[in-house]
Amino acid sequence: MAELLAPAGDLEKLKTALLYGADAVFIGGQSFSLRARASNFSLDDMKEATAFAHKLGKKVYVTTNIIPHHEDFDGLLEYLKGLESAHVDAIITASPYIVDTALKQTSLEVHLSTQQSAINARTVNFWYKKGVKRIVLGRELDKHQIKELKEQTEADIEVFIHGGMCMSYSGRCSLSDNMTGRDANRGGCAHSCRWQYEILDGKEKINDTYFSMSSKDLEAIEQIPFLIDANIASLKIEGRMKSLHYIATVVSTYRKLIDEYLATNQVKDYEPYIKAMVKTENRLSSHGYLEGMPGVEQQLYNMRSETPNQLFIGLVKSYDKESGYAMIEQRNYFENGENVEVLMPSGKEIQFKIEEIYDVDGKKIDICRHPKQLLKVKVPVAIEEHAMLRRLS
Amino acid sequence: MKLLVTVFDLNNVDQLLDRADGIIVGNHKFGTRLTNSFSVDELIFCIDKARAKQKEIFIQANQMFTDKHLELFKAFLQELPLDKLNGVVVADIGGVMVLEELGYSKLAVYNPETLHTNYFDFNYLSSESIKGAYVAKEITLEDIEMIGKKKQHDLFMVGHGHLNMFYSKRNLIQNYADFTQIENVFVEKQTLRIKERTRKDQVYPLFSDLAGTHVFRSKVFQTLNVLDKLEEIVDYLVIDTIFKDDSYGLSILDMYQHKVYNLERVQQIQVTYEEQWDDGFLYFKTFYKKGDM
Repeated sequence: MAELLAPAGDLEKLKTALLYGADAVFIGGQSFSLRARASNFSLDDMKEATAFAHKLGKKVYVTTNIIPHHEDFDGLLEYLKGLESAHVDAIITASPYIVDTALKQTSLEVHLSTQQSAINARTVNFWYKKGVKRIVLGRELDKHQIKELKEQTEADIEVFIHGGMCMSYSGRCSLSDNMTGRDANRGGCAHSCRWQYEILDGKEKINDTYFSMSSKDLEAIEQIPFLIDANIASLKIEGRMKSLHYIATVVSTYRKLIDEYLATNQVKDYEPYIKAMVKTENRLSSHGYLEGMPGVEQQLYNMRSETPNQLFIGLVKSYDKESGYAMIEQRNYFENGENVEVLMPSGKEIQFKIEEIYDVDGKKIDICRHPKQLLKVKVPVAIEEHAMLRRLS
Repeated sequence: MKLLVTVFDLNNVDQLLDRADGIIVGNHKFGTRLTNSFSVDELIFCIDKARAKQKEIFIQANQMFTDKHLELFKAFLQELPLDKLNGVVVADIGGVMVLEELGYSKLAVYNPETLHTNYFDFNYLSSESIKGAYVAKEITLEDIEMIGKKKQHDLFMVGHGHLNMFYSKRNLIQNYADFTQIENVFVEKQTLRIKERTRKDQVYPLFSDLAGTHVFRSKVFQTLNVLDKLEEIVDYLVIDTIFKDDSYGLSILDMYQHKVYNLERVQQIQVTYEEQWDDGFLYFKTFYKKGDM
């Protein structure tokens, strides 16, 4: 059965992803991992993460996906031994040095990162024969190519289904290195492909419109049944730096979709799933390469296409059945009288109008403007811990 | 250390072979960022020329390959007299595997662009008995020397030329033309440039071919000043003349052969070809994030 794999930038996000329906999460440690700006996990955090996940029968993978320079070799084995002692279920890695060290000197399961841009069966089988159990494919294949590739290998195949797209073959881009000095393959990517450029033929500008390499995000809602039928082992959501609300919404949506397909062998209507995603989208999305070569409709030419999502207003920390009050942690400005929607880990959704808010001292308030402030909110029906309140737009 | 040069015009193959130790040629169905694309017959012509002069010849087949593309690549290789080749430069491990299936893994020269940043990764395919591998373009001279000291197969390095920094399968120029509703007359055109809004002095060549879209560094990378050091560790130093012609290749070859950094001559070339040179990352270590600088 296809695994739903979600990103987690910290413990709170990890728990959220698993509670909202991910079968596994991938996280970064404090060494050897890309996304240097994500709040990466300490070894103690990882131990807590694996204990939490394993109790639910779920898995934790750790990215060790940098392409190391010689000075990065120090401490690798010790680090991998630490991951082993934290009982992580696999590492996701790109460098042969890390692959080889892990396979020969630890009992860690090894997955090959998309940074190696494996897009054909011969490459996949090369790594599989080396002992790599799972290969994360490059994003440059359409769904039929993915299916045909899987038919030629016993390796587990992992496919990206959602999130940001590298515009270059992953791991082969040095725009950031050259333009900012920040090493894209060691966690410093400056996303120079999303910048805007004048375009010239010789010295003459060919058009006033800026050129950009920026892509819409990937969203594979309508391709999920095909990928499940193609025997893909893992369906991966990208974005270790994304918000709690993003993770909850995206995971919950794919969970429901996968479950519907597995239960009924069909998806009646994709529209509700697509609409659910829009609630967390801060960049336009499309199906990437999955339906063939991306054309103009998959590009972004506007510098500021990213807008912060203000829909997420509070996280439910607890709910008291007797009084009907929920303890909510504020995440974005909201007011008494607003209509809200609650997304729960079970996938259930309800709507209500906020009519009573108190602070922890019992003082009645009308405006909630302090991030992370704890608030008691009267809720008309029972809601689940870890549920998310969002403004009805 | 042998000097290899890419070819623009078949009429100049003799001259290039007289000066270089070998040439690199390719066909645009399998190679990318080529100085020029040649048919199978033309490639065989080059192979025969190189053999006749007892020089070396390499085929550049550095596209990323899907499964179907690999089958075409295999058929393409079978049309070539592989016994007469010195190597096939591939960027995809699938390409190495195809050469192995044909019994010619010893011809494989693996060039994964950015990935060979340490000696272990550089040597990883030595178990497949390949001929050699390229070092990454983004590492320091010290790192290259470290790799060189521990190499288990031939070390290739681009020593001079425009280095690419971005390779996308997407047809980004076609997409831009569609977006702006202009006619796309830019496929394989070598005069396109892009300029970032805040880096007006940096003009980056932009190039589209059958493999996709490529962006190159703004300055031409050169290693004339460090040839003595490179000679100790590099087996093949490549002069890549993409965006240039063979007279450029011949001029550059002359300088590298004689190991002379003649400032006047350098300036003359730079003015003629409207280019600036630098030494890339030889003395500049990339960092993780701003705080690590």
